Amino acid sequence: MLDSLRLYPKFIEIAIRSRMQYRSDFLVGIFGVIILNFVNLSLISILIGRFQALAGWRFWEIVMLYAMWLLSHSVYAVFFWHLVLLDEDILHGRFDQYLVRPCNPLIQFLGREINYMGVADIIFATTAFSLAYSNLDLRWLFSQWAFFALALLAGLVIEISISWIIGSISFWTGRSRALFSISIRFSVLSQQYPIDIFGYWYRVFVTGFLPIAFMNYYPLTILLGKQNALEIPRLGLFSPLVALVLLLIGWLVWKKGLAGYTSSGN
Amino acid sequence: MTPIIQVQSLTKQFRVPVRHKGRFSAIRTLFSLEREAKTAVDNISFTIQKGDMVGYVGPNGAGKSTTIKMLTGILLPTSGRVEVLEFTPHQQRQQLARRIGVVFGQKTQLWWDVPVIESLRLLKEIYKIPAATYNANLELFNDLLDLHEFQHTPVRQLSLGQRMRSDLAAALLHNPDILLLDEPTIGVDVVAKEHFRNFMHQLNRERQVTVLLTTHDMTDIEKVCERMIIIDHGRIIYDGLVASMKEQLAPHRTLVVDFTQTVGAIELDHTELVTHDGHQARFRFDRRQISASQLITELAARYPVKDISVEDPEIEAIVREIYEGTLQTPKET
Repeated sequence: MLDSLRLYPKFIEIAIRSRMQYRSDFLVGIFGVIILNFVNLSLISILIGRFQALAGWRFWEIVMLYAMWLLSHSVYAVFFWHLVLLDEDILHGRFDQYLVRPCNPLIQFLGREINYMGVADIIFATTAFSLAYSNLDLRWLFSQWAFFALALLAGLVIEISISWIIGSISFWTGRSRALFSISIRFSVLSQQYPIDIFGYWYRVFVTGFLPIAFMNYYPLTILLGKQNALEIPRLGLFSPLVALVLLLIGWLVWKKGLAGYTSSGN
Repeated sequence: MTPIIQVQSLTKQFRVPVRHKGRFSAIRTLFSLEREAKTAVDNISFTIQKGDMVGYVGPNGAGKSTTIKMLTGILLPTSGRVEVLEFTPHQQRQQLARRIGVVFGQKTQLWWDVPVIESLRLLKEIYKIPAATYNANLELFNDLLDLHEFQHTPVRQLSLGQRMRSDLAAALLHNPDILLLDEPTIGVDVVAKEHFRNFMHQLNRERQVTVLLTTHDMTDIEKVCERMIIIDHGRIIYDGLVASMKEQLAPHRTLVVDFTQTVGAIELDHTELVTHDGHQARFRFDRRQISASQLITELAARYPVKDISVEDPEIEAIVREIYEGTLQTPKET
């Protein structure tokens, strides 16, 4: 595994070169993602303009919630987004190739692609976060910044792990599209709005089953000094733990799936 | 000498959903949890020695690819034993990978959007190929495969023949002991096929690489391999020299006789009259029962013979019969 890790930057280099073959696609993609983010935020601002605040969250607080998710998501999007495509590699037999080379198959799969569209997310998220920070007049201490950074990392690991688990399920089912589309729908809702506006069972679901609320919502309630929707104090501190547990589950499911890999016919 | 590949009572079964028939069959299949075992490879055994070039032949779905995937460690056998270069493939997959080369003709193992040479450079890193070996091999491939003609072209723009050559180069770059080729010439034109066959000969002569070749092209087999293994419905039905395959699987030859004048009814022992129009007669005979020369002597003594020829079945035709399931495997007498 460590030896394979040495090859990862080389795989990525080839992936970047491959992408650069289609330059106009690259530029259109970047532009498109920035527009998409603007549209998302303006929808929220329309809602807030109408209701003043959403469940006690002011506009810039929601911008910060969105930016926090987008910061970790953008790194996920650049390097890990193609976990959604794992089932295609398995279904079309491309996975066989990874297994006949002396290199860890996970590294080869992850090094297969790079998704430049995430770069636009990074630019947008950083800008949105800075604006929110100054508009909310925040003065974070070093310890708060450290917690923020840790929470971002946890958020990244949570998103990677969820995709890893769902992707690996296709070792058994052959396809994991349906599960992915469910999980993406839930995360779109939870990243744009504080979960306070949803019902009790929804909050429980995104906390205990598909724990995406640990990516941004719970850590941010601590940083903004807000009461969280489940009224369990300091729940956000558990984000790194949730991330580690999910990562472990991801690793186990992947291992188990790989051991029983049955390849595909021709 | 221990064989380089040893396969013993190897079996692979897949569990597939039971297909329902009749009304709402698709939906019932979707929700059904029933599984049945489908045997892809059924208790096969063979060994391959270092330097052998073996053809592995059989109709689609006969179990060829499944066997190759078990040899490389991609698939775990259901039962039986596989040993390749003294490794157990599924357990020591990555160690084994360093010493074998694999070409799957249906999908390239090169990076699609970058020039061929970039893929080769990356493979150099993956296999940790010393610079001297890498350069020597590139030179060899330039020589034998004309790699330099298209090494700066992205793989997606290559013709199938060029792609096959690039894939061969990629599979051989790290000097593997064994080369496993799964339908390498699929879709490739006649010239490129000829290129491939010559290359295989040179490779075997210079490097003593052991080759297991799967193909549907019998000419590939005849020109490249000395030995062939025929598999059908997961079982080996022939394992031996390509040359003696005809005798064993298709012992019947055809004797064609032209007469100088019209001849009436003919009778000849140990033969079966296929057609007879007075001027020309065709007989089928079993080469194990009677020789062609005996027949010719007998005919010439009794009838006004102008010309005689003996036709052998083509390997192609025999294999087609196997594919179609119409071959009657001769019983030993």
